[in-house]
Amino acid sequence: MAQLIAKMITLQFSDMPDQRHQVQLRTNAVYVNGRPLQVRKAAAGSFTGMLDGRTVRLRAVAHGDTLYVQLRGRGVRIDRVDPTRARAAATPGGAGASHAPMPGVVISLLVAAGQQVKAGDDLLVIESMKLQMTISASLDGEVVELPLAVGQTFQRNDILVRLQTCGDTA
Amino acid sequence: MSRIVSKIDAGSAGYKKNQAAMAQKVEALQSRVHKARFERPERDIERLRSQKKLTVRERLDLLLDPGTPFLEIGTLVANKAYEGEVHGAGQVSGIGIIHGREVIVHADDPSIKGGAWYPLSVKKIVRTLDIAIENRLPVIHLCDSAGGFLPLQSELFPDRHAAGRIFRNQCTLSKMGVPQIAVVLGHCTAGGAYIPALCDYSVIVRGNGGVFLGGPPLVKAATGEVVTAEALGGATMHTTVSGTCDYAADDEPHAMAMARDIFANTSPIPKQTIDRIDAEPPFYDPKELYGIVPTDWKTGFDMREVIARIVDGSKLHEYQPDYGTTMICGYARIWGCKVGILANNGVLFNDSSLKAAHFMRLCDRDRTPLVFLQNITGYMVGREYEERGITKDGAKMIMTQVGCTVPKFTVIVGGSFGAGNYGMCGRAFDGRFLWMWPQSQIAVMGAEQAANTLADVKIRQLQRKGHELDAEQIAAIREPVLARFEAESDAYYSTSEMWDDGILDPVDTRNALGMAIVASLNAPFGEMGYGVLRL
Amino acid sequence: MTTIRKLFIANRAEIALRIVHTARRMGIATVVPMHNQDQFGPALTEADETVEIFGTPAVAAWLDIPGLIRAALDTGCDAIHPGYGFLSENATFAKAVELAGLIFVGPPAPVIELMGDKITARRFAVAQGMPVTLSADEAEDPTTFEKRALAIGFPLLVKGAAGGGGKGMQIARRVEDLANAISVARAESQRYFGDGRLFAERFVEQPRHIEVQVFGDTQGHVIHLGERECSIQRRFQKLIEESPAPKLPDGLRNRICDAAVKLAAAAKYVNAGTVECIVSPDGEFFFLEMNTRLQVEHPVTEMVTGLDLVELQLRVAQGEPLPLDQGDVQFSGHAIECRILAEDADAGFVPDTGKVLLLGIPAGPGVRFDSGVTAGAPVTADFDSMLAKLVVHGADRTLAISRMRSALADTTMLGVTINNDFLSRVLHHPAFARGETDTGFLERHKAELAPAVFTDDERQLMLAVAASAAPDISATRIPEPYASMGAWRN
Repeated sequence: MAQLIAKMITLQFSDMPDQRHQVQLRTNAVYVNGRPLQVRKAAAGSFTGMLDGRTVRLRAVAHGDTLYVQLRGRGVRIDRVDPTRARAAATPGGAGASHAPMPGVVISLLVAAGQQVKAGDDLLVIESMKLQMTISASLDGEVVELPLAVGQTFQRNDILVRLQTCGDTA
Repeated sequence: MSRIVSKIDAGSAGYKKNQAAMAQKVEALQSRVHKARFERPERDIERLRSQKKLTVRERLDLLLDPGTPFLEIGTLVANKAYEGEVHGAGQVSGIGIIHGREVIVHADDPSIKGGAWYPLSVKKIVRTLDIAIENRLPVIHLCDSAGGFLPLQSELFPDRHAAGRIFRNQCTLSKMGVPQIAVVLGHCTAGGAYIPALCDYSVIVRGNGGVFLGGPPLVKAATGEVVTAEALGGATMHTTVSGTCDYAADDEPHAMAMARDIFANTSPIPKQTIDRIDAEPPFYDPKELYGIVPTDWKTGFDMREVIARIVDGSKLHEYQPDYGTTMICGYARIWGCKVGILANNGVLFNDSSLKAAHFMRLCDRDRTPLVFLQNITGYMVGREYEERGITKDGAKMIMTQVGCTVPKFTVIVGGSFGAGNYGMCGRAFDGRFLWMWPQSQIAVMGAEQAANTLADVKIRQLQRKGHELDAEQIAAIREPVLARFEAESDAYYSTSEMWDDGILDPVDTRNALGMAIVASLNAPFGEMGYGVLRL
Repeated sequence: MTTIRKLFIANRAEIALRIVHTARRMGIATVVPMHNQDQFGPALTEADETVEIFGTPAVAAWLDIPGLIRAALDTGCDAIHPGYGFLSENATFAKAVELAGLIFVGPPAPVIELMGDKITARRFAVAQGMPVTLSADEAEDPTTFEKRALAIGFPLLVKGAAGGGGKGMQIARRVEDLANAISVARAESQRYFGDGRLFAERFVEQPRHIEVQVFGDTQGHVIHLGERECSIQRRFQKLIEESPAPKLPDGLRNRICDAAVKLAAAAKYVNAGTVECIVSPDGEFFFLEMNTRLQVEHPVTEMVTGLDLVELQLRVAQGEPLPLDQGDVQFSGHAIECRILAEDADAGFVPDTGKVLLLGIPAGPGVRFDSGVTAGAPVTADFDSMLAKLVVHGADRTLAISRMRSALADTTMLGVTINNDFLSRVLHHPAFARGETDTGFLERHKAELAPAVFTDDERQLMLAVAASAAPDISATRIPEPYASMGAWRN
């Protein structure tokens, strides 16, 4: 009796983050965006597939939500995406803008315009309804603008900080 | 159970004739099904693409588990109505699998008249939800409809089982604890807005999804307010301000992934248990069904040969094999599930009616689902049989059949005429599913008989007035009646009106029954009991 | 003659492993030190003992002379092999090792001092009749340095006198560039070597970097083991080395090797050393510097001569005479080495960090892989970015190139970006096959060495494999009868 395991996964290339690819692992083939491909596992981390009618070897390994694949000696990084999570940069102001979740006041600014930050770095502290909150960076990049000064009040959805990703270095 | 011994000679002329005729019918069926499912005018598809929408089939591919079956219901509904332009009545319904669990899907097809609801569309949605209620199947609504088709509103709005019944069924499902998820992919206007509102969970797609009791044109006409569809009832408003919808999706693939994720978080309830073992394919090749069953319903065949190509291992334990031989009763397995089979092998007599009633009682008591294979012209008529109480015996068969609370499934393999339809669990008798074969016929009586009867009446009428009719004039009265009856007895007419749940390629019967039986186990069997038998 | 019974290897990664292998073969016990932030080296599991050394940042532990000597003494070693880099050319270290009563596997401290300073080394070379490029030494007279530099003519190379390894060097092509080249070179030299004194010399265009492996023993014998070409460089750092140098006329080869031996003998050189020269397109050669240690690219010499240079080092360190004369040295075939670095060669050679999640070691006839990492090893910015050396031998250069191409394609270190595909593109370039190797190769052919764009088919296949390698993804067991029915539709 066939035991069918239906595996579905959403992937994106690290060098093409705007495109998502749906991959389904079925018993007879692997379907990439609806197109069936034959992939065979040869050993741990080793696979074979077909390209232009010829067999090619690939290596692949997973590390958390990142997959590293090597084809003909060239390596790529592929990230696993949670399909239920929205794409980045769907909000106005771009992915780099942090919006105030509720009205409040700026308590302190921890970075300055022009500063390089990494995702997760603390940017500023706000207070609202007697609660203090630290706003942190949602991406790696540069602080473009801090529109509010310490002590300044804001409304819900006002932009607290603007970040910008850096371009690729040559 | 032992294997049915087949007596078919695949080399005989009769077999080959049947085979050729049925193959042709099946090819025609497949062609019509393909057209109904996939052929759309280019501009309708382009319109979908420009709206960043997927076709309903693409939506199902993303919603359901890959590589799993989908039992579609009523693919050819409305094929004889609305000038044949509203394929499937603009709806796709069916039983599919998500995360290994059965669901029933009701999906508007926006590539057909914008997904507008015709009277038969409403009938199909109501039927889909009735199936959901009877079988306790979770429902996924893929909403994308232009709304009710106004010119035919009198046929889709006011009556008991018209549009209102959709929402009544939704409430009943909710009360029963059956999960419903709506995915709003287009507009849900007026009544349609209630679909997501009455669901447990709803997903709405940004930009395309809209839920409002009155759309922008109606709002403007009613109060003068000017507002865009997005502002009036779009994703952002309903998921952040009104709370009418629960999840906002960026696009359709995102919405389908969310629906799957939401469904994964609903908890399944234990299924009804029945006698079930590992499945085994039939010993005989189901393709031989084409050579066994003649396309002319008047020609007889041995129903055992049909059973042998549907059931596991072609094995049947026949009950009372020598008594009431025009009714075959026996235990068999379909996809491992033990079922009681009742199959016509001729006209119904007293003994065959009593045998059927007794056998149905045994199955109901022992919680064995029933499968009816119909090929019946009716009960035997004549004085001898009336004196023996054929009417009472037919009544006992019907009374018993209705009293059964095990799931019942019917396949009209040949003809289904008159009272024979009743005893053998026709549409009115609460079977879980009913299917036709491409050459099947259903009517109160055969077309010839009906035409003759009606023509007779007319002829005598005219004769009393002093007119004598020649052969040509008789034909002129008879032919149109015959033609109309033949058309209205046809399987495609039946499926168009949704008197059945679809026309099956005979070869697909096993899978359809298997899937339906296993899906039906989501509902517990009811308490046993039946009315008074006229003994 | 003192037999070494236990050897302390004051190094890490692939060179430590390489030395352990030879020592073990010779019956010498080995101790390899370990820092708690660098616990994944393959040598640590293969050495007989390991001992923890301390330092913050980690690299400081490897420059801690007292700490290393103490570790060697504590573990009962009688000799220290410094490997390359770190303290291998540090005369103070060599002296301290001797003072501690241990054998230093390398030349005596005075020789290291002589050759370690670029300026003294150059003067010594000139005195031996070795050709050198026109130069100006700032230390002679800082006020006239720029004027003397100008007098050399352009193009001009300005570099730190105390430096090496490609750092602290600037090329000035026109008069206008000189002042800037001087200030940048000075700042870099100060930063890397703690010494901002400069040296200017004529820059040979399209020079070939040719070096000679020399060996001396305590009895005064000095031989050479052939030359190596190391012209394929990026930012003055070697990437690909080979032996013999392609298209080098025999006469020129012999003159360079003989001059190197003469220089080493005059310096009373003991143990392994390399005389580096540049060769101009006209066939002239000029002394560049001498490295008083075993070099990274020594395996190519080993593969064409069949000799184990670390064994020779240990024998000479024990006081034995060299086991062969110049006439006994045989050269056979051709060898190429590629340095496998953790960097994105297509994004300006930016170093990468990560973890070696999957290690695939190429194998085959003539293939040698000296690995500095094991599977699971983290790759950090603490140490050099070289993760391994891939060395290939063939009966001729064509076969060696062909074997290297296959080996590069089979080299796998997933989890960190490596340069194997870039190296492969160089190996496939027709100019490389023609032997048109000089230090401007990579810059000159930059556009042609750009990577090919992946086709859609290739990307789809990679996605399919990625999904197949991903563990535990939304897997649901589909029950019967649906599993057997598959994608059935009525």
